[in-house]
Amino acid sequence: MTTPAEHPRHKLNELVHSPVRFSIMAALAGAESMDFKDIRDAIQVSDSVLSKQLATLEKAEYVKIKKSFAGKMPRTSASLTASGREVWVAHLQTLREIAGG
Amino acid sequence: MTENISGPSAAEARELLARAEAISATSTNAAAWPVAVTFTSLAILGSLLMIGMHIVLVTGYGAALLACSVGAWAAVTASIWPMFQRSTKAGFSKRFLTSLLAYFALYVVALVVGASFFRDGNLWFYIPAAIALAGIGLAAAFRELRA
Repeated sequence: MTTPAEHPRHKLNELVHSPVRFSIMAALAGAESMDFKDIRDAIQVSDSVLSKQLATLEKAEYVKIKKSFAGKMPRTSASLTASGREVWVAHLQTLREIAGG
Repeated sequence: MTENISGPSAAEARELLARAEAISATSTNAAAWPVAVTFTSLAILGSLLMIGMHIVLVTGYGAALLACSVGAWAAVTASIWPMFQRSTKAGFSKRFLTSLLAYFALYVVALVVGASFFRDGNLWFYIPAAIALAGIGLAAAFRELRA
């Protein structure tokens, strides 16, 4: 008796699958680097929610946060790390497998 | 960080994929415009200058000096501008640098050839040079918009 193949849902990344983090990863996937305000506007969340979720993604080393100053104004930008991009591609592939079957 | 979670249905997965594509495609829509404006400006500047160079050479003024100084100014301006961009599309740095280097390489070649061989003006050289500079600048602008 053969073991049935594992359902693709088991390969979904829980960290990325959360709705806000999913949207952040989607926004950053199409960018080299994105300003905090542009991410916030693109995915329509509050500053505090975005800040918290970015910190979670940064802790997992999926996202790199860069803080700088434009004159006296602080500026925060984010980009996907290489591992973040790999995880995102794998996550989308898993979704395609689920969608296909 | 891969765990067993209650997975989406096939329809939900399709919806998520569509959402990811939509966010990814629209999140940096506005980011391409400053780059497009930069290269469109270069296209106009370079091509007009080639015609201007012909006219000034015919009248005997220091056209090459004018073209060099405007070219240097344009190079500095074009290099500084991206520093003020808040968000950029994926692959922007490589695209921007290759487009900028291609443009200025052609600009320098056109300038050197024009100043060396066509000091007294020659529309058969300066008009194609103008078209080539306009073409490469506009191609770079559209390249960024389509990226």
